[in-house]
Amino acid sequence: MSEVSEGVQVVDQVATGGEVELDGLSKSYGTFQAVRGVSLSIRRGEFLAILGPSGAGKTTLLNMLTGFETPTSGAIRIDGRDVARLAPHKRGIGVVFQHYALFKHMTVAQNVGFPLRMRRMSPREQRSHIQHALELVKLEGFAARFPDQLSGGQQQRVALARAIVFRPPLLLMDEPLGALDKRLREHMRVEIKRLQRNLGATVIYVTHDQGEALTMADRIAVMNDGAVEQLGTPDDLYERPASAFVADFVGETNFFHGRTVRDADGRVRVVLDGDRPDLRRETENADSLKPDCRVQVGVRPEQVSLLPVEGADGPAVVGTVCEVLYEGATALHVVETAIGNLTARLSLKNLRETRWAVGDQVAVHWDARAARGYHVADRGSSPSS
Amino acid sequence: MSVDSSAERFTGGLAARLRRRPDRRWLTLVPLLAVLILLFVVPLFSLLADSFRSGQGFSLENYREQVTSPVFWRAMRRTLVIAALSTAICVALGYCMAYALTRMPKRLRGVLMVVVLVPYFTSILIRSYAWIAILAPGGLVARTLALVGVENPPELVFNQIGMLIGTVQILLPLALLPIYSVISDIDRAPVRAAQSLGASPAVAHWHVYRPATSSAVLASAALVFISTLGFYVTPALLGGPGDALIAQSILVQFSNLVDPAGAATQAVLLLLIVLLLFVVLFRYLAPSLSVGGTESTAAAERPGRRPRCGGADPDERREKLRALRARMLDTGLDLVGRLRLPILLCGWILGAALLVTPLIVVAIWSFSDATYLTFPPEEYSTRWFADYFADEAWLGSTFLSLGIASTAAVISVVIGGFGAFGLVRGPQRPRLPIAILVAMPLIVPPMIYSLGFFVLVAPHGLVGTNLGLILPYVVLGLPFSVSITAAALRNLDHRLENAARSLGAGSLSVLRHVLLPALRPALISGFVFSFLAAFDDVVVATFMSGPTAVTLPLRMFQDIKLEVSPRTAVVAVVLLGAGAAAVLLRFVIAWLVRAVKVALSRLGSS
Ligand SMILES: Nc1ncnc2c1ncn2[C@@H]1O[C@H](COP(=O)(O)OP(=O)(O)OP(=O)(O)O)[C@@H](O)[C@H]1O
Ligand SMILES: [Mg+2]
Repeated sequence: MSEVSEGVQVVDQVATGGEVELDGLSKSYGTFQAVRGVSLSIRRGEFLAILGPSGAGKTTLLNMLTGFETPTSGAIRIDGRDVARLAPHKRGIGVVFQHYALFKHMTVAQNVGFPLRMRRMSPREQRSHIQHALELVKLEGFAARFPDQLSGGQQQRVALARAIVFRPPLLLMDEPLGALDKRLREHMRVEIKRLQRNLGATVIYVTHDQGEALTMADRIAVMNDGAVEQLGTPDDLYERPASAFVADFVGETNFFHGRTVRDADGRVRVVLDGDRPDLRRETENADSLKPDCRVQVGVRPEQVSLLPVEGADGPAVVGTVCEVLYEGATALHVVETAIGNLTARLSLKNLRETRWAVGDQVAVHWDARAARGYHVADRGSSPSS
Repeated sequence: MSVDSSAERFTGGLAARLRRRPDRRWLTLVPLLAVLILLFVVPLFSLLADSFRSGQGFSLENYREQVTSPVFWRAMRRTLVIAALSTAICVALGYCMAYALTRMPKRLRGVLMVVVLVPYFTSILIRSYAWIAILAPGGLVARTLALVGVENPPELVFNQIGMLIGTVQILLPLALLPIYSVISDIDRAPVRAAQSLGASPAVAHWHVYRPATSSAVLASAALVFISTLGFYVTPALLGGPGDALIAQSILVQFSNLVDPAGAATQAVLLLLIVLLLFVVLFRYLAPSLSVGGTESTAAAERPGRRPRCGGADPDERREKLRALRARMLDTGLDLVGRLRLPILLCGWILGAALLVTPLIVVAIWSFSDATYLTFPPEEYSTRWFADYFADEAWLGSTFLSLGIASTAAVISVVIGGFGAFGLVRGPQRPRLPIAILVAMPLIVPPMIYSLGFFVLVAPHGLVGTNLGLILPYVVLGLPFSVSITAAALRNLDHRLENAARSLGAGSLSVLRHVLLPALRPALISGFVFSFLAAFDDVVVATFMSGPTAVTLPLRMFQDIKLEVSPRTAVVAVVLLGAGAAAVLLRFVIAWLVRAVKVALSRLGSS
């Protein structure tokens, strides 16, 4: 008995976020590596989003944090304490599950009171805590209902209340908004963010929705194939993606294939396939590119501008508009060029003077600072060959 | 999407058009209802009438006599105690084993399911008989204990202990399977949620998993308890002379004491208890009755107890007491949780030993050379096999039983198949009462039913004829054939039939080209279950067999009662072997057909 209560957090303490450190965390199922060598350190009170496509290993990573999976190797430290081998019920982590995992046979109040009951809190205290938690998620009047008498969004908030009622220093959420409709999802983003600020808890938030990650998180870890591809703030990630994968997964990107060359001035520039051979294009991260390599150059659609062919000069490429998709504040133009098809997102303000129609000839242009080169993990065409 | 919905509209409209013709699908229910009423309900009512008959016409004299008879009460009390004990053991063990199954890797689960299913399909008679070889003096346990130096082992058989062991072994699969089918579907996420909220594994199980399984547990407990109340073969073989349960007591009253009215009265009293239990436990039993989606099952899921949180000012002392109780419960659960692996492992070892040992013992014993019980055998031979194959009477009984059981099963599948169609596709309102009526032959103890049937038909010269055996076996097979076919039909899209009809198929063509192919697996397994129900029966045969027509189970039963020899083991091995051969043969034939087809197509193409 003493062993149980020891692991449980003291409920009355003022909530402060916990500090989490993952050190070379890996998980294999047989020969398959679901998570490979993830190292992250998450600061007190930080909101970290883990973003990645399906099968990237996000849930597996979270399960190791909650204790439902044992890491194959690596360490997990919460506030300096290694918890990798601690049983789930002794970790005192709040978890919001993907499909809420509410207790169907208990009322909302009993659901929310469950962690308090496990912590042997007196019924009187429990009531006030439950009341408070339900107020936080704006469900005061629903205490006596059963989960199947609630809407999806309300169930979601019950799950949230249940996870925060015992003031855990660390809150994990696995795609908590995945089952909600779009409007509700956007509303809940704001609610969760507000709650986190009020509680001061550290939050690790798993999602495959980049919009969620960009708007809510302090920092985002992009996962792919079990490893973290990039860790950074939302603007870092969006403006300076570290890999083609990140550039593609976070926001949209036009990719052009090409080859790097070292110019006479010592700078590395890119010759795009299908482009004029004498045209050497600058990239923003030229310093980190090796010469004589296959690369992809990524440019965001909103960084592309379309100009009349006559006045064009400099590193432009001529193409034909083959589709115009009206989006409201912006319009997406699909342009066929010698370097490949590309999309340009033009704001209506810019379109006031010249509107492009399907079939128009345009000169495609972008600023050198908006283009980033990424080495292609190529076989056979290494720099030496 | 749009294609789908338009197709639906098309066939839906068609269904409406078809419906305008008078719907005569209920006609398919007529044979089923006729058989059940004439051959099942009428015998029970005639039994009821008999129980009120005495020397001077209608009276309650018989009831007065039975209710004041200490012998009857002792049998009744013994029956209830044995039923309660075996139910408790079966359900506890079954729950353990079913839970462990859900937590195992898939492949191991398949192997262990075989351990449960093979005994389930093996004859009750043979399994009970095997326990004699295990538990009796000179048997497996006694010989093993003697090796260790225990000279006077406790008496384990021909008393209530043996009866209990046999009953538990026979009903364990019946307890395990319904529980397993429910809990293998339970979502584990809430259990994980509970753990993340601070509940140790056992506490989480208790608060979250157990409530979701409680109605399944009650259902299987109800099934086991009701089955035990009417048990005859196992107690008769494994119990002692003074340990008669109520089913035996009815038989003794009827044949030894020649008191038909008294027997009828006891039967009616037992029937009352069974029906009362059925009514009380109906909402838990309903899901396994193939009624499908009644309100009572939905009600069973919502616990009756209402929450007490957030109410008005509570009684402080009561609450403190409740908190204390909860703390003690959690502490106990923590202890259990820490021992959960040993507990589950022990449960499986015990359960598997109970289930499998009898089969192994029977297989070995059939090669014994002895004429009396020694197990393990001191010398091996095949003389008992030779004996069996040379004995006209035994072979005759074998073929008689095969013929009667398969005839009864075919009739029951045909009547049950049409009945299932009427039940599923026919009118809505009488569905529940019909489903209950169909389940009754499974619920009413065979002893009661056989007695009623015998008393009714005995004056008409049916006893000792094949027909006299086939008719009750058809009734016993119906619960299986109807429920299995109905389940398959419910999964079959009824628009298929409408579509076929719209393409010009008449009722017979729909039956032949749409229903029969789709329902074939269900009909086959309905046949197998009906066949086994008849082939395994001792009770009906006790009443209906004549001196010339002795069925195989009855001959085995009488043989065992006379002397415990390896002869029944031989029959068991022969039958099991034949069953295995039949299954193998099916595969071989399918393989041959395919090979021939391939060869022919090669020839044709070259
Ligand atoms: N128990 C297991 N055994 C074997 N492989 C597993 C197991 N659990 C997960 N995997 C594999 O590990 C990989 C990562 O799974 P995980 O559930 O962590 O993905 P995810 O990032 O959460 O995806 P999603 O967004 O679809 O939830 C997947 O390829 C999955 O097939
Ligand atoms: Mg996942």
